Amino acid sequence: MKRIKDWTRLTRWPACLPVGACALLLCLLAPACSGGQDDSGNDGPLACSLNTSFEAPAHATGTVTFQTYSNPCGELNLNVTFTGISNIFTVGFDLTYPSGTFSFNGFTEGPLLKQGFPSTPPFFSVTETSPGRIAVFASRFSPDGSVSVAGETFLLTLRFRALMIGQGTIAFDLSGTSPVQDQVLDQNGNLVPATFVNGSNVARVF
Amino acid sequence: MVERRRSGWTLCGLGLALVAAPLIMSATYVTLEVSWPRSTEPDLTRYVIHWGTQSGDYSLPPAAVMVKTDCSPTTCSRSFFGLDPTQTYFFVLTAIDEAGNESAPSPEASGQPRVAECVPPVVTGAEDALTATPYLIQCAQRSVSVTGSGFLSQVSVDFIDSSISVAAVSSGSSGGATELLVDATAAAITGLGAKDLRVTNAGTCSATLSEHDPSLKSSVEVVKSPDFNKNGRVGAEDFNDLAIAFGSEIGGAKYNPAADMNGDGIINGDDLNRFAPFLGLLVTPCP
Repeated sequence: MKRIKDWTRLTRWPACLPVGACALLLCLLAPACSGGQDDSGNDGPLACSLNTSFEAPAHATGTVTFQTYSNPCGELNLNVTFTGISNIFTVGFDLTYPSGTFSFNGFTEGPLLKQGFPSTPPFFSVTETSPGRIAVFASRFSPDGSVSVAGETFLLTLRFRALMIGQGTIAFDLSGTSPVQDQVLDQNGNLVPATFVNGSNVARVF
Repeated sequence: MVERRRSGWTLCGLGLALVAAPLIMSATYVTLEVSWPRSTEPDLTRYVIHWGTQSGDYSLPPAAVMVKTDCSPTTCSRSFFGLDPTQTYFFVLTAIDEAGNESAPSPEASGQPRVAECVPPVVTGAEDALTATPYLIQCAQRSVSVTGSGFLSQVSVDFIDSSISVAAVSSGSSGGATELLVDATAAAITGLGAKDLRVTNAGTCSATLSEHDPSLKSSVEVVKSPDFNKNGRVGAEDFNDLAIAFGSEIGGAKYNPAADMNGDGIINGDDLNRFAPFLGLLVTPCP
């Protein structure tokens, strides 16, 4: 059985790519990478009946949390926000969402890993590995070093589309049985102290 | 130069051999192969096969055989497909030179196609079933999707490289399936790079992927295990290893041979392309 959908960049990486060419490529691919419209391009009958409530935790230093971004009709956009974390080079985590209420509709890269105009663009791999489960990996590349966040900066925005009235929890899978370990690593391969924090995280469609 | 309508031309003197090919397949794939010795005349450009279902009546569409492209140094041949196995077919040959001169026809030969015991499959592609990529990672058993046509219920699959083992083959339907799922495992010692695979229907009727795609662009490519730290997960730590070594070359301080997925001595986007599809998966680590 194939993975449901792989939102990783839709083109293969060339072995070597000048920075300028990468920038152009990213611009050209922006609609595909950011998700944009769903596959059908339709808003659906519930397009403007969506309201969301999302009880994200406080963004304490050293945490990774969800944060609502903007929620236009029929959509729920969540930032994955890093607060007060240093030496970020590689990130990996997975999360679950109520697939009966929402569909995953892609992602938009955030500014966190793009700090300092890296010579190699950071790579994002966002895959819906099974219904209701999304694995996220992102990294900078040598010789670009790690980045730090004094306040809050987001890694990426996850985009969901309402399917039907209902509710459920969107949360990092912090269980030991998850195939993905929630981790932040620095440019030397060391684990960076960071806590993935879930609040109530209830997302509603009503 | 071939004398126009020259009688007793060399080709004709050698005669025309009809071979009921041993690879003739089922009643719907009945094939008759016609072969003959190639003429040594340098200005010969092509042969034309005139054929029909009655002696002396060659009313079926003539078939051209180009000397440069269709003949071996010593032999020319042409196969005819979809024939009626109960019918006898009659053939004569003519040869045409660079000036367009056509020889006299050869003596007539005839033959009846024979029904063979199996149908040859056609293999058009193969990829890792979960990631939809052509990459077969070392050490882990992966489900490989093989696409094509004519896969029968008694089908088997193997790789030309015998270090890649095949545990099971399944298909969606009992006959004529277009996809096979193959549980394949590349060993730790399996060499990196493109690997051809072979599908065999009952009997000896087989086909390889390279027969369909000689460039092997659709073949399976064996790459190193993406589980660099051998913890059974392809995760952030492995990604971090590749990212740290990114841009390094063999002999360099940051070069990490484990992250050189294709073994070309450089860790770059090619390796990332081979690594990224497996992120988040559980795999059997290499010993």
